[in-house]
Amino acid sequence: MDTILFALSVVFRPENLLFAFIGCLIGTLVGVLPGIGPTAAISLLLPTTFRGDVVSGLIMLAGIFYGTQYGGSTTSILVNIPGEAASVVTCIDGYKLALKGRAGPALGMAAFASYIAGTFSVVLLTLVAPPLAEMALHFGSPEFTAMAVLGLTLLISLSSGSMVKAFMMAAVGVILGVVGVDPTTGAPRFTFGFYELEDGVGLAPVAMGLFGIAEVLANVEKITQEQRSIVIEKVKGLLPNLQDWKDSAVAIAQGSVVGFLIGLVPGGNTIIASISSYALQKRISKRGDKVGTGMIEGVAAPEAANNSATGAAFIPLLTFGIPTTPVMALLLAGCMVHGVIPGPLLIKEQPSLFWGLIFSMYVGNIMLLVLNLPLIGLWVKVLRIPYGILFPLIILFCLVGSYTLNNSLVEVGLTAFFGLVGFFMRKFEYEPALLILALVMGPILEESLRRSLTLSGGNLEIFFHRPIAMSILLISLLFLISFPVTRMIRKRKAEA
Amino acid sequence: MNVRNAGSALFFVCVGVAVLWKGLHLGLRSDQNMGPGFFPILAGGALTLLSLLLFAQTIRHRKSAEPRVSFWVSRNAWEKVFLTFLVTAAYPFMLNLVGFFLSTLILLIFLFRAISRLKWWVVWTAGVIAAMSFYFVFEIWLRANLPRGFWGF
Amino acid sequence: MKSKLRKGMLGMFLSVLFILIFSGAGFSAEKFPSKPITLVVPWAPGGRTDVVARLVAPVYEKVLGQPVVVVNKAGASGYIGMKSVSTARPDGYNMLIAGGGLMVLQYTGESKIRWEEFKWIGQIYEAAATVSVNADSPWKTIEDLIDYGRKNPGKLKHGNSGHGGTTHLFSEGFAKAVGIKLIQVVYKGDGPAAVALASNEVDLSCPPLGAVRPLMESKKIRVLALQSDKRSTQFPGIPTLKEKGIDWSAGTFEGFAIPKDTPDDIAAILESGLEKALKDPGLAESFRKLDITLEHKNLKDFTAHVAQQDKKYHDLLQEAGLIK
Repeated sequence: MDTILFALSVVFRPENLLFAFIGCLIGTLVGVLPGIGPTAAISLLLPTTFRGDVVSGLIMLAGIFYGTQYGGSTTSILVNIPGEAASVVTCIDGYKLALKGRAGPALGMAAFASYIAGTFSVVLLTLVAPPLAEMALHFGSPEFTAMAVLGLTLLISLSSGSMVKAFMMAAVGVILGVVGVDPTTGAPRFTFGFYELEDGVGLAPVAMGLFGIAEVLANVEKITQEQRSIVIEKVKGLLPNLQDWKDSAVAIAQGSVVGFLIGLVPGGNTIIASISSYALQKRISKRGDKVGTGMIEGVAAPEAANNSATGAAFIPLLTFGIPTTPVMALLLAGCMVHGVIPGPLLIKEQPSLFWGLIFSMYVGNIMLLVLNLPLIGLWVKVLRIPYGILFPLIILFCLVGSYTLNNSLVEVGLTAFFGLVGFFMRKFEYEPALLILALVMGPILEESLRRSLTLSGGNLEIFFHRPIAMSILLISLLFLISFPVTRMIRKRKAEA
Repeated sequence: MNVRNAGSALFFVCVGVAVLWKGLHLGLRSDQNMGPGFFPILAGGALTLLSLLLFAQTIRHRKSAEPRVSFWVSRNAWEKVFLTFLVTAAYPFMLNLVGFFLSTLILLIFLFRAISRLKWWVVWTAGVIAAMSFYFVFEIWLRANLPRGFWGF
Repeated sequence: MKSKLRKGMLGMFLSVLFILIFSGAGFSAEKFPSKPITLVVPWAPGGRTDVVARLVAPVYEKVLGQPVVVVNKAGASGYIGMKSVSTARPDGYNMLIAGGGLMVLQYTGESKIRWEEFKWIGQIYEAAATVSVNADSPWKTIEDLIDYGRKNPGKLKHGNSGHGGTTHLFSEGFAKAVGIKLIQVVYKGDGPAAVALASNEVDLSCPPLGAVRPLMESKKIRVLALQSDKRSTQFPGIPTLKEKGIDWSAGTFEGFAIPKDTPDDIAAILESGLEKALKDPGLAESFRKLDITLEHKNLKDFTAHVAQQDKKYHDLLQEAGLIK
């Protein structure tokens, strides 16, 4: 108990609170700026943390981490550009809310949902970390495959239009995901001789092109001599109102739980978490049909899920030193440079450090809220800039952002190219969100599936011997069947 | 008939077939496992089938009264889109040639003037301020190492 | 109209001025180094190479007296970053950190790059590969494992960190040296491979010590041996393969390289600067914590080492059938 109180006092020291604040600030800014993701931000700042005190360094890293998660949502809502993969889902309802003049409440709900879910996951982490971490070790390649299948299936439910077209977009996404050098055999696929494409088509250029630039191109059409701005209804209110809270309560609750479970397991990531929570919300919400047209719970659910997943991802790291995502691997490197080896030894030998880290996560969550709520007013003002001035800035934002990822001009070209593709997709009524999510899931599915087959000597039986994988696959199957079934039921009701 | 659906469906059929074909080249199997061509074949095949399905659906409903929505919003709209896209696509080439600051300035000035039709002084002020801000944020603060032109800047 | 014209001209004037001021930064012809040096890491941020670069850069900066800016240029298994330096101006301001990765890439990449395109001014570290198994497995010593492997050819599953990567190659070299046959299971990186080992998905894996240390300490993984020549100072209890009579050692290494046409006197400045920087005690401590061995070699020795490793990697790749 003494150690806990001690750790608490360490965390609340003014300089550590300052570090938390700086971390969150930098993280949020980095998250807002496209291209430079949390990995890059953390590694940029890693050396600065090397010098200082261990706890301070970790606090700042945690702040950056949480900050980037939230920052990505800001651009998703304001200008329909996902700051990172998990924010793609937030774009769907978030941007529509912004167009309705409700950007403030959307941003606010995203912040609150993130905070609540984040705190929830840290609490759970403190209480039940070790047994949960054990569970993480039961996840192998077959389970990853099943998770990817689940993700792809749920993905379809994100669509609000024709099912066939949704599946087509998923197929195109998978095809794009194939581009690059095959990791298992080293054979180049669809690279057309461009060595820049050997690592595949990056997510960021595609996202910024399909969402950012395409949106701009579509809006540019409407700029005429007289009207200099896109019709965005006047901003009504800066924070979510009571009705919003009522609508989002369930979303936040299920988002926290779903996100936590998915974030916990290796193979689960914030993307799957946000998709799953969103899909679930569509199913269980009374106005499920409207989710996708600008409903506040469509923002609350994925935001809660991805923050909860973020917290849960710390569990395997802290209890076993197993990093489940590249960002975690970075944090691990950061820890190790300080001589902090995460694992059961950490709790025993350096409890103050362990608890210090946990509490810094709480603080990080609070800091996010404190930092971002006042900023909402500022962000909303950005929308007031006349579109004639705003849209070139958005284009620039996307282009420069994609360059900074890898210092590669090819990626900038890709962004422009996908901008055009996205424009035509809009005109022909195909949904870009599905393509992007499939682009991410496809390679995961292929890699895990192939590996599962290698492990089992080439037959699919391995799946039947693994209960966890089978259950996840069954859930996917149920989901898949539920679409035509619900449609049939609705038709019958309408006819009756 | 929904021409857009029919047209795009046919387009995707072609894409699907191309991917399928390339996938077959890469090989369906390798060492008792899925070869590098497996997924392309699967996805390409799926795309082809789905596109054919979409096409069939569109043909089936061709008699239904669908209002003819014009493709472009206004008569000259496509020029604006085309020009915007052109300068966007030219940007990476400009970056390579004249470096970040100048390319950005050119892009902004062109868009502000040609598309948004702002007054010249607004164009220049906003352009310079924006280019400088981007420069400071990305190059100085984030040390992103933006491209330099042939004169080193 | 007049004021608008003036405003327009003011704007133009300001931007021209701005350009001139900043391009002026490029003109300088004094003693080397007189402006910041770019250090290219040909991998994504966060990996071992990146962390090492970011640890060494500040110390190197102090010695050289100019900022050393770390830039990540990932892609095509390192090719993009490496090529960007081999074709850069040989003025001493463009540097690359590379080693084992380049060795492999020479033969497995789609595009060609050769170590001879660089001057290798100094080695920074070496990291020995381990031979690790799951802590719950029946093999308590390296002999147990080899014994099992010989009796059951083609049954041991080895998790590597990438097809054709260093872990893959080293494990194949090891397998050949002891006469066993492995099934290679591909993972993306040391992290996932170590996790797979901890969850018993594969039987063994040969990543560097740094990748398995946390899992070793949390008793999920058992390190049976090191593939290095000497025992680790951090973990003196782990035997080396050489001690056990197995004639095989392997480990990855990395150092700084510059374009091959860089003048010798500039190379010498960089070389001695690095040597001095690596003597920094803080650096040694950080390296120790990352489980890599700070092992400096000067230009002459390093170049010889690289040539020798080149041959070794070439042979390994050929054996594994990975040469394109």
